[in-house]
Amino acid sequence: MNTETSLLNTISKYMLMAMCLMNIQPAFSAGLLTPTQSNLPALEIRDHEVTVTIEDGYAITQVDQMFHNPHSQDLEARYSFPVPEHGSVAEMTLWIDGKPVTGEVLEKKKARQVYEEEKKAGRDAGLTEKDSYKTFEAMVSPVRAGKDTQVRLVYLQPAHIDTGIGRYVYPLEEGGVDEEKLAFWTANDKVTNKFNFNLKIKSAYPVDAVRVPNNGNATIKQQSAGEWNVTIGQQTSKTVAANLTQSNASDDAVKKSSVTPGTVSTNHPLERGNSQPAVNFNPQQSQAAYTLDKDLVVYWRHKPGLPGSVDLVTYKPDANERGTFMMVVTPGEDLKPINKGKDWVFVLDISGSMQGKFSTLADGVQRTLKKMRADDRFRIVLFNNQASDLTPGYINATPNMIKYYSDKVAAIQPNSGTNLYQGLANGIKHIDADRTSAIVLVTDGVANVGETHQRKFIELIKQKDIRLFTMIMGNSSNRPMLEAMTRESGGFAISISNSDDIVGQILKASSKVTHEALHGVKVKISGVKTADITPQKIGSLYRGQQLVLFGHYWGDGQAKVEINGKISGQPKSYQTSFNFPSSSNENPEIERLWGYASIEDMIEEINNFGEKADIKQAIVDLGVEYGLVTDYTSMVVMRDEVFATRKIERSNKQRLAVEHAAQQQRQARPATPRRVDTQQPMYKSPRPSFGGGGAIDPWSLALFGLLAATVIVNIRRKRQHAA
Amino acid sequence: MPLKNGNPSRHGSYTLPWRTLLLSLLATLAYFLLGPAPEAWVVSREAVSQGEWWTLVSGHWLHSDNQHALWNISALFILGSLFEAQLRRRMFTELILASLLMSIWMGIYLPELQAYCGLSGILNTLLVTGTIALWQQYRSPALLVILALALLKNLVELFSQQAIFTHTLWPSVPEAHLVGMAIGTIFVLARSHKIRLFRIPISASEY
Repeated sequence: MNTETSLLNTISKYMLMAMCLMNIQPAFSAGLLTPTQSNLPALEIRDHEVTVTIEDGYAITQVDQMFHNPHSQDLEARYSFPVPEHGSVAEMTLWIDGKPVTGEVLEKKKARQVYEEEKKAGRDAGLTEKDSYKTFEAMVSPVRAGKDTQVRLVYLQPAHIDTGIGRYVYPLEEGGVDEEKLAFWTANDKVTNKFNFNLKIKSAYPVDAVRVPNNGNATIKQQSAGEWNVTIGQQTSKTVAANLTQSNASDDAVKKSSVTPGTVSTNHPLERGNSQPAVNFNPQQSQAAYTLDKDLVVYWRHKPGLPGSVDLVTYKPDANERGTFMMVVTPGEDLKPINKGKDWVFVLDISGSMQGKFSTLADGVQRTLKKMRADDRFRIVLFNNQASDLTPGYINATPNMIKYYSDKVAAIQPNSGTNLYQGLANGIKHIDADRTSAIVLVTDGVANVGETHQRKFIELIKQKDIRLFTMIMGNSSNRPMLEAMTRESGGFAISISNSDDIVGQILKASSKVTHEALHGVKVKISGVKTADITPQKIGSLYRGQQLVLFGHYWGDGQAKVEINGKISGQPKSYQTSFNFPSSSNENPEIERLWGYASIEDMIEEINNFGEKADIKQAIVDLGVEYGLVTDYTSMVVMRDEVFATRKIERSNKQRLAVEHAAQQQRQARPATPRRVDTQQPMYKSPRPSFGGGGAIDPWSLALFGLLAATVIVNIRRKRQHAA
Repeated sequence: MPLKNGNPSRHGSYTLPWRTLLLSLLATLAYFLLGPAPEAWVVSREAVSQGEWWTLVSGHWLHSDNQHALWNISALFILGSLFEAQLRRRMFTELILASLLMSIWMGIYLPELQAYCGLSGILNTLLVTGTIALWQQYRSPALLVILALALLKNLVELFSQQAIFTHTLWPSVPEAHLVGMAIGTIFVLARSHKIRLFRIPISASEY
């Protein structure tokens, strides 16, 4: 069945290996940073343990690390990791004198000032900052000479399902898009002692498969229809021996951590005796239990044929106060395929920052070209410092031409800067008004040559009635800008990691562009008072995409929800009604998710129209209220008494206590169904998926009946004839 | 209804279509014992890549929900009963081979399809080979008209990209019906060229 696919996979693997060998410069990765031009010795990441819980439409990622200072002087640790997709840090905890102390969010400059003061005074302190769309940086000072320092970071992000498939990325491979940073810092991405990655999926909808592509060490276990665990763990041989002989110290650490208030103690990532996967000792890397240089990607697939649905998650601890909701609409399959020939313009980023990702790009382009219909045409535009056409105008998608241009793309060596504007401008030239056209933009999205203002990009894309489909390569890309201009065009953006199943991601994308879409989507909620709904502008819904809305509501009762849009120019409306509860306290995290979604809307406005004092202040206020690290707020950790001395309110500490209590409550019970449109389903057809079935229908059975009657008549005739 | 050796003049010529009954029973048992679309038996890229080659055949004998199972197994019973006397042992061979060929075709030409289950594709193979076998016996134009109507319906489904009447749990794959007919046509042509695989003892009255 998949001979061709296997062959292509094999070829692409060899291509990837060859490209990796050619790429001398390794991609920058997550790790502890040390200034390249300094004499400061490097610190060690002893343990790196990740616990992920995906439930009720969002993921909570907890990263516990132990930094070790093997030197004779106290040092500062600076840990950098790529910004996860729509993720925001909500907790930083430092173990000070063996006790966990959680951080508080302050305005960015103030947080930095407080941290520097504490650092100068030689007191324990931590700081987590966001470097725009690129990285989060967590600083800890001091890591005492010869000692360990334990630090925890927790971030939240929505976890969507697309065409029946969920995707979670633990981003480690830094995009390599910031040349200054690359030159200044050296990253130590080696975990010397223990690495563990534990992911739990808890879904009320049945999940029939879970996959971890590009990681053969993953242990995947199904607990029930919707509950799965993924475990990846590695230890050095030195550690295994040490664990057996020096367990006392560890046991002490466990005892200390297990009484930590608010932690999910039964699943503490540092706890010894957790069910460990097989030890995988690589003698070639005896100094590294794990290297934090490749993203970990986990897919989970819902059982095919689930109904289109509306799910509602709420948090309203007080019936008389404002509540927060997250509404997830998963449309049924009612978007028909487009059978007309199309023009495709591939606008490909061949700048230097694409080096580590280019083999994936070339492979993806080749596969996309192969999926084209005979009456499709394509054009390829390349850009780095300048933009140029690879193809002489539009080319018919014949097998020979596809092979010829696939080979040409694969042979390109990326270099120089990124003139994204020029690339797009070339792409939208020569659009044939009589044919349906689409631009497929493949980039890591950091425009650094020519025009770089987001507003100008949006104006450019609006010049023509053309959809932009953006494949965002790797981490640290300017996702906010790429998503904004893609949304403006009515297209969609899809993220691709080097660790992704590239075929699967392309299939998802191609099933969208080959089907109709619901454009100009608007949602109306009546019957219950709602406000602050985000995203403010929805745009289009493509095949398999979910619509996720956050907002506030007051009171309770039956609400009528209406989704309106246009499919192929024809108005389309979907309705349902369901109950908003008067109180609910299971999912306090959605307050933070609402806060961060609102901040993303505001950041988009700043990117479009420039920074304004009132919007900036609104972001700071939201960041501080909801304990979120943003472009304008940072999280600072100090000794408890210093928080008191500095009169910094412990609002995040209180919020975390509520969240941890809710997490413990959720952990103790099975996944709760959140579907609310069962009485009045919004969609009649099941959700789109990649599974299919062959079915005989009554019409066919009637034909078979006619066939049977014909046979009987013929038999009788023959008998009569014989008689 | 099935005729022994396809000869209507023989006394007591009606015989039990035991092959059809057996296959229908197996498909029904598979549905009730294994449940809807059991992962270990449904044909999927993942399963085949893990060396579960049997799913290339088994997937076509499984169903995603009650409606899916009811229509498909009923159709198997009707078509099998009609054609068993003509096709006899060949019916088994053709259905198994059609399952295999259909899976290979899906693997190559429907890359977006990750998993598949259902009898209808291979039932279209049976429809073509059985109807042609009956036509060879009776030469009734009505049989060809019915085949043409089935082809028309499958073409309409293909161009509308939707099954006309079915709303089963797993989305329909309209291409499967037409490809099933194409595989049936290949079998008929192969047989007419007397490829050894399909050559079985046939009484003179059948020609």
